[in-house]
Amino acid sequence: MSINNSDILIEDSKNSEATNSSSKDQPNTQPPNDPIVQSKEIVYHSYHGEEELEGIMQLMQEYLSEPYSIYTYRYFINNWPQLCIMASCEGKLIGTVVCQLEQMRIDDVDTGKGYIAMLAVREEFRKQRIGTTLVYKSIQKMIELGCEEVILEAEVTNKGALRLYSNMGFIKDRYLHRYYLNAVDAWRLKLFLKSAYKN
Amino acid sequence: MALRNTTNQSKELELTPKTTQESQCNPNIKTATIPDQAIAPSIQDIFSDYENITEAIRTACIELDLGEMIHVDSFTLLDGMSAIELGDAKTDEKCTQKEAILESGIREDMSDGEVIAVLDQLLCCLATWLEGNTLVQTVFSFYYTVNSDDIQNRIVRCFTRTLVKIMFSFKEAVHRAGVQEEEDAMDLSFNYSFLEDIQPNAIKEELANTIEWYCSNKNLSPANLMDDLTLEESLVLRLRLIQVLYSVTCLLDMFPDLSFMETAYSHITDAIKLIAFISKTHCYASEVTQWSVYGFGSSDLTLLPPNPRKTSLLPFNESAVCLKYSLEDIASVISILRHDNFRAIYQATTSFSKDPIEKFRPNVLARSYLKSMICYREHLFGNFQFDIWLKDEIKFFCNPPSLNSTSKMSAKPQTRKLVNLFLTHVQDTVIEVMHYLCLSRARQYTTLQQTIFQSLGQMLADADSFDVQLHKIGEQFSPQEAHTGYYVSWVLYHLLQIMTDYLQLGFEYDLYSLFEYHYIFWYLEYLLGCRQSCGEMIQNLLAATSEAVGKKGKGSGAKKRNKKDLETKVQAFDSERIFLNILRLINIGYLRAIEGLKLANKIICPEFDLGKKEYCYEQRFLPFSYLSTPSPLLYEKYVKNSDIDQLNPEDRDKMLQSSSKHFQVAKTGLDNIDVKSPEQEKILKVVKMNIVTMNLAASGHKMNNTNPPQFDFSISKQFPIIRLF
Repeated sequence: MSINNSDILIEDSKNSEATNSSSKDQPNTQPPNDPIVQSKEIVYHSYHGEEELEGIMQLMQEYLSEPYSIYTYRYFINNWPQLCIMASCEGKLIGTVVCQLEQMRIDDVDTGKGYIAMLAVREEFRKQRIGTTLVYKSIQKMIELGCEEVILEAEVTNKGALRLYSNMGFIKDRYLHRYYLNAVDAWRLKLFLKSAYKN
Repeated sequence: MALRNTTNQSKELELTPKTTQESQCNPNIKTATIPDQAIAPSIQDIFSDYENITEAIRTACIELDLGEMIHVDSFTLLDGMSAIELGDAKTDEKCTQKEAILESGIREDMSDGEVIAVLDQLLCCLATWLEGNTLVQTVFSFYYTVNSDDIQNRIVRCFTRTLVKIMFSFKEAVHRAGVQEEEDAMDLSFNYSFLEDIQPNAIKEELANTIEWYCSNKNLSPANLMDDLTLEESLVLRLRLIQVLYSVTCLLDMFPDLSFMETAYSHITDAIKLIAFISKTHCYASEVTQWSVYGFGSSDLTLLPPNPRKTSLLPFNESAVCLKYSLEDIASVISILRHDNFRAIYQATTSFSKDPIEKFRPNVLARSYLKSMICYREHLFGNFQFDIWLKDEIKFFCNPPSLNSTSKMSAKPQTRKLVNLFLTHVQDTVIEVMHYLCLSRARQYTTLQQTIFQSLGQMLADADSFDVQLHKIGEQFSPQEAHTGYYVSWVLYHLLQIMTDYLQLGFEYDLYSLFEYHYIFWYLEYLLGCRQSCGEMIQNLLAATSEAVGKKGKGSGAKKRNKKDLETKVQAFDSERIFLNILRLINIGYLRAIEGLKLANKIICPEFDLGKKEYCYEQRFLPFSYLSTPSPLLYEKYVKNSDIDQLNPEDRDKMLQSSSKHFQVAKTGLDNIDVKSPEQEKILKVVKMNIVTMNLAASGHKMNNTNPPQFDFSISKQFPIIRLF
């Protein structure tokens, strides 16, 4: 897969692209592809500054069910601004991924563990692999920073998100009963970027 | 400006309009820290535990540019997640808290229908708590559980007070066991009073008097359980239920005195019958449109951590089923207590954990009682003769010369010392295994990953070491007393079962992606083969010991008994070996099916631009790397022996036919088992359906599209029905 900032990939028509930590109920049927929307250029960039925070919060609050305070957004975005990737179309924010990278030392070896905290794409811009691209770009940055595995949680009912991550090679690592505040169960997903036996 | 609650964990101060926070990744960070002395003392009477931080912020802001932010290093993600914006309904749940309307409350002159409605709602609260919710949001969301003296109605008061006492026992049982889910806080008491100052006898007396008073007022004779109960009789049934439940909790609290457990069992049976009749008579409950009128829904959310999980009370019908299941499962726990040997206890505990009829059964309360009882004070049932139980178990299992009283080596002090040392070594791991069986199935999976396999690996190494030492002693007497691999076989046999269970747990929680099924079934097939070999090894060991013993006790009655015992055990291992062979055939059937479906492009592996299939494989089986035996199968071996990506596309139908044939041979094997277990019946059903599906697939049915197959585990949790679309 080749992705760059202006890619508009339309072959995947299955991603719901509103994931993590939990997403609001998605309609059973996806809205039809809007050819006008698809023809517009999508620009990807990392978080620049506080002036973008409100837009990110609005987007997440619209599509994620979990209520996050401003402190949660700041925790992630201000600590790892380069891991907050945004997708815009004609200057309008249409998708964002918010991530974390923890550096730790295990058995005298430096290890980076990535975490995808939030991902959302505006409904009318879905089915264009924007979510996949956002995740891909954030993981690429994590790899540059020494990341060895990436984890996230997704609601068991969020089939679109599960498919998106599954297609990227994430596997379900653990089942979490009533994980979210709305009492919905979750799976913890993991993507392994290094061999388990490397050491 | 935000007010800082000094009792809250949140430490960040919000500034507007632009902020930047200290960053590990951003070198241009500026951090300003508020000196502690800059924080002004409290000035607001209304918020006695709050501090006015206006001046502190102003002072700190002087050195900040626009876009910078005050940040305390210790402000963690948890703090961020826990922080609330006061008055914002989305994060500040508590600002939406409703006050109970207590204008009418629980009046003395409530109709019997109203009383039934209130009592049934309390049962719903109990059932919802059992589902893993907090007391604040369930039983104590009823205003009068905290203020039972305010209840004017005698029946409701008596019922409520008894329920509070029951809740105390249940809560303590959950707390002691520690098997609740990590996110649940069922055992927190929030400083509520549980009527500790009222003695159990006073509650029992109050209940008995209330029932007698009501029956005499209504001219009721002791009601029999029958289908046409009146409204009044139905009300008495509810009092009897709470009476019986309270007796049960008092009796269970008498553990480890086992003499009370049978009475508890009998009361539980009564309670289950009562619940059935209470379900039928719920129709007598008055219709309630606003529960707050009776004091329900008045949870004090300020007691909960920020952003509490939302809780809705279970409907009555579901609550009745939940309570029935709980009681049935507690009765099962008592049944386990009846066993007097380790083997039976272990098997019953494994079944209790593995074979729930419904999802989430057994629930946390039953698992808590099980854990508290079987592992009481880190000994089985608190039995301080645990080592003797284990010795009996190993002796029964493989009859090693070191434990056989007729062998010369068993009498040697050196042997006894080694045996006792081995038993002491393994006790902790055995208890650890019993603990994990009391967890929910989902947590069993992670516990196995994190600790159990590591402990079992050590136990296996210990067993091997003791076998070697004992072998040296045995060789001094005669070749027949060679102590080759007895303890290792015992550990390995159980270890292999747990390994199989671990992989199958992944199916239960749908952890495996479709592309992973191939290597999971491949590894399962390997483990089943190891189990067969282990069984054969144990048969040989049994035969060797029997032969050695037989030579010494010629003509004696003991010889005949030993021979008969041996035959029974060998027969059991034979049956198991045959069944394991059937399971291996089924696994191969799945392997060929997946290979055929992969060639038909119905199963597609992700592109893996990031990561690799190899890494997924390694992580799935990483917990097995703690074990020297069975040898872990590395990815290279999987690729070399059976990699799905090396197949010839022309072999598609051949693979599907082969799958069908393997299922067919497995079916024949299952048909030949005279008395099938329920699990074997289920597997047979699955196998029959898979034979048909694979035959159809081999003839091209549904093979002209790339729709992925479905692996349906609705009949068997381990062996799916393959469905094509």
